[in-house]
Amino acid sequence: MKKNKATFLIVEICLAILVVFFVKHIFEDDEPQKRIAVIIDNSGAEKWDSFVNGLKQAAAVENVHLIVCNTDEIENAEEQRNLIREQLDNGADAFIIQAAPGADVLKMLQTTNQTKPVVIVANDVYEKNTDDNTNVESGLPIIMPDNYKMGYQLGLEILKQNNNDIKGKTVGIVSGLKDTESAEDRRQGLIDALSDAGCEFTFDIYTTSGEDAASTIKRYDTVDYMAVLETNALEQIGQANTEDNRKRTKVYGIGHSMKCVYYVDDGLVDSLVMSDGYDMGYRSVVELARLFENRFHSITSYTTDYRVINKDDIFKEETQTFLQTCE
Amino acid sequence: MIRKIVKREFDIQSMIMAVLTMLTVVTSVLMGFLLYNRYGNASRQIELRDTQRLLESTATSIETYLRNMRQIEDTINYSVIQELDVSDAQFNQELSLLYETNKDKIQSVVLCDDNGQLIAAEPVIVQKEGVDISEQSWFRVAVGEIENMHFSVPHIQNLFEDDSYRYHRVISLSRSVDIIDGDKPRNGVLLVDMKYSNISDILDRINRENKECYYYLCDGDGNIIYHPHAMELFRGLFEENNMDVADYKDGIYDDKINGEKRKVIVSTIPYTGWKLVGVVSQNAKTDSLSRFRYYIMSIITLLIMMNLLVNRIITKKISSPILRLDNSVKAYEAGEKPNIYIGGSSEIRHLGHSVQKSYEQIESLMREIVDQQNKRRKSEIDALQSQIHPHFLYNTLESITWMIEGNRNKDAVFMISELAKLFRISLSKGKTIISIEDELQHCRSYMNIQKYRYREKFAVQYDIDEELYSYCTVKLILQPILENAIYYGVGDMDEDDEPMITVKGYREENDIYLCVEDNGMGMREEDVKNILTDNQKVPKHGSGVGLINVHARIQLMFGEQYGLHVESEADEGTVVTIHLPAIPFTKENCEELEKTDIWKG
Repeated sequence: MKKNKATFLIVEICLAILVVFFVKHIFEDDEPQKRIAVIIDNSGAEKWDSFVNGLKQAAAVENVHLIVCNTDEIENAEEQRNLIREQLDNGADAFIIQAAPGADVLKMLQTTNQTKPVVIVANDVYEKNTDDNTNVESGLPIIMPDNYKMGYQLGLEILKQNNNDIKGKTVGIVSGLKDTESAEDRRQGLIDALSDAGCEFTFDIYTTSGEDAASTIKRYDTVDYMAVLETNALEQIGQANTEDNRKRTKVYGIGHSMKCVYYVDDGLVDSLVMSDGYDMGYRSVVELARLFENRFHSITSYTTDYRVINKDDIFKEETQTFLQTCE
Repeated sequence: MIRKIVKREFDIQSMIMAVLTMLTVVTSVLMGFLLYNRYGNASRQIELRDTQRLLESTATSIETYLRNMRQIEDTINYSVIQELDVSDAQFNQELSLLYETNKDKIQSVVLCDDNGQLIAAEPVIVQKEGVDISEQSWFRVAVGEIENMHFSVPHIQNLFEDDSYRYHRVISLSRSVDIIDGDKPRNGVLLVDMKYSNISDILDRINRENKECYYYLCDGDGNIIYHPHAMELFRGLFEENNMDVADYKDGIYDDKINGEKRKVIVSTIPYTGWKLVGVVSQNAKTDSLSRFRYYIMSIITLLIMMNLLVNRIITKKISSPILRLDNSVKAYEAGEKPNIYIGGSSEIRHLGHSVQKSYEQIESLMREIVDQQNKRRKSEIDALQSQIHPHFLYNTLESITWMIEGNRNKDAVFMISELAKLFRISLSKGKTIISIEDELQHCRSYMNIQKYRYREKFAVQYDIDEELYSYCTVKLILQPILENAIYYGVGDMDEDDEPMITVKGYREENDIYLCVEDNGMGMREEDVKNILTDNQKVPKHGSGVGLINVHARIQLMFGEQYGLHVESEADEGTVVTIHLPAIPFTKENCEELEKTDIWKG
């Protein structure tokens, strides 16, 4: 009899706990959205339009709150650390970060990753092995295009558009910020592609913060072909080409803005390699959302696609759809 | 395990409770499921209806917008192009006026001849170098089908330079027109590039407002005009059955994509043939449905809780009288004497009464049987006791006769006197219990008589603690032992062997021991073993009352731990010890013992 009573009481208590649990679910507010902070260099720049579109679309689909930090140029690890701290104070649950230039960024990002998940976008962390000068594995998930391949592809485009005959021609290279993985890899890809072409590299320069690339190149001799491996520099040089009636120099570039595409359409830039920024943004948010749903989910690094855009391709349906992400 | 549970015996309360609980749970869960299902279906129906309503109103908005565009084009055609000469300054003014009025909807207005040469455009901007209008699709369809207006799919406008380096996504509305150019009328194509953002804004807004479903727009061939997941579609991250939908007429259709069931609502926009499609997922759980699920679950759980409580009360009400009746019957069976429970419903009360009555009848019958048995035993004992008299009396009277014949009158008087004492004690007013003193007197009388008969061939010695005189004993227990001692012990011995019978009596704590010792021929070991158990093997002499009878009477009166103990050794003698409880010979004790149920041992 006593056993029956105990069983009855236990069942009633369990059911009461269940009722409390259900009632709590009825009245509780919707679970607050997870917050993902996005820290990218010069976030308002047009080159990020497709990336931000991708971020926004994925955030809407995955129901996460996106905070795209309003930034100017992030020149070193310290600046990036301050931004991360600020967002941690704002309650960010995860970070999508474009690694700042410099060798001491890796440690800072790894430390951040220990408290909140971090996805690296656009370029890998720049830190070279002292032994063989190869890039140190960051161990962080990275979603970005293959910068080396993009540089190499640009080199192939220069060759293709000039009938594979640029022997004796002069080439100038304008890379992005020094000590960034993307600038180094793109440059290396380009040089590797043109290494057997017999061309002469007249100048090989890096952009610096606040400096107009178009003005910088004026200090060097005029070249036959110029490879501009960074969006801002390409926009500046394209703009300068508009004003330069001679248009002697053929410009080839890697860029991520509609302005760059427009320059191709206008003939100011001869060929453009454009990475799929939308995919980069979309996937980085989706991966973090998966991690929010399942904390054992492991974010895998992913290499996004890129596309070569020439004047004749711009109004093809496929290119138009691709470019729609930049609008 | 299940077999064990099935085999396990459950009490009535557990069984009733289990059955009621099962019924309660099954009924509640079923009810909850049906309610939830009904609500789910109803809410899906409502959602579907709302989606359809919104779809229709959106289709109307788009249609209104497109009609407006057609009207603008009609106005340009009929009021400007067909009325004014293209070289007339008023032509450009009118065109500009119309453009300015509608520039929030229109990206540009272009008039070109049938060779693709630009005649007029608003706003006035530089045409891009190298652009061949005649190659553009909107131009070709307008020239190909001159009687209709043609809507293109959204595309980037490729006509004019833009100082801000931007492209404009437009939907082109083109038609073939007749141009007045001086004296000679010409054919041309009028293009109105509508801003794509006007369409996309309408659809963006309804997609933002409805998270449970989405809306997209495609043309009659299934080409996507607007889709909230257009970029994902392009990258293969999303799938859509837009090609199938293009063949659907207006209505609601079942659709399935990647195993996900959906309802597709199609509404066709007149003139263009565009299909506005609303997609409602059937698998997705809406917030309200999810909350309702928890609501139902909490109600069902509460219902189960309350039902369990009610079940328990009802179960207890039903089973408690049965269990109490069962417990009282069990207690009765275990030897207790509780009152049989009588309570609860009339049926249980009736059952209790019946059981009570049955037990009372059984007890009464038992008492009757015991009484009968007692009486029977008593009469047996009386019969045993009465067996002493005839044989002994005959021998004694014969001895007295010889004494009188031999003029031994004094001895005869003594013998008669002893015989009288013997009978007085034998009778004892019909009582079974007498004092040890009387028993010893009886013993002495008997031995005095026997000694006369055996002419003082043996000696008798008494060694009795006088303290024992005042304790109780069953009467006539020493006499049969003494009789045996004479017949099998000292009776046939030579006087030279100094035959002797000794009667001893002593007390040890609460026990009294009376011993009859003789130094006669003794018994074989086998006879000693059987003497108290098997009366068939023991030869009977004398009074005919054996030791077995004495043993049985003592045990019947005082219990099995009392009785006789016989020790004998051939040619050495025999000792028979009587073991009795030390009960003081008082009136109360005697009465009590006389009343004692002889079956108690």
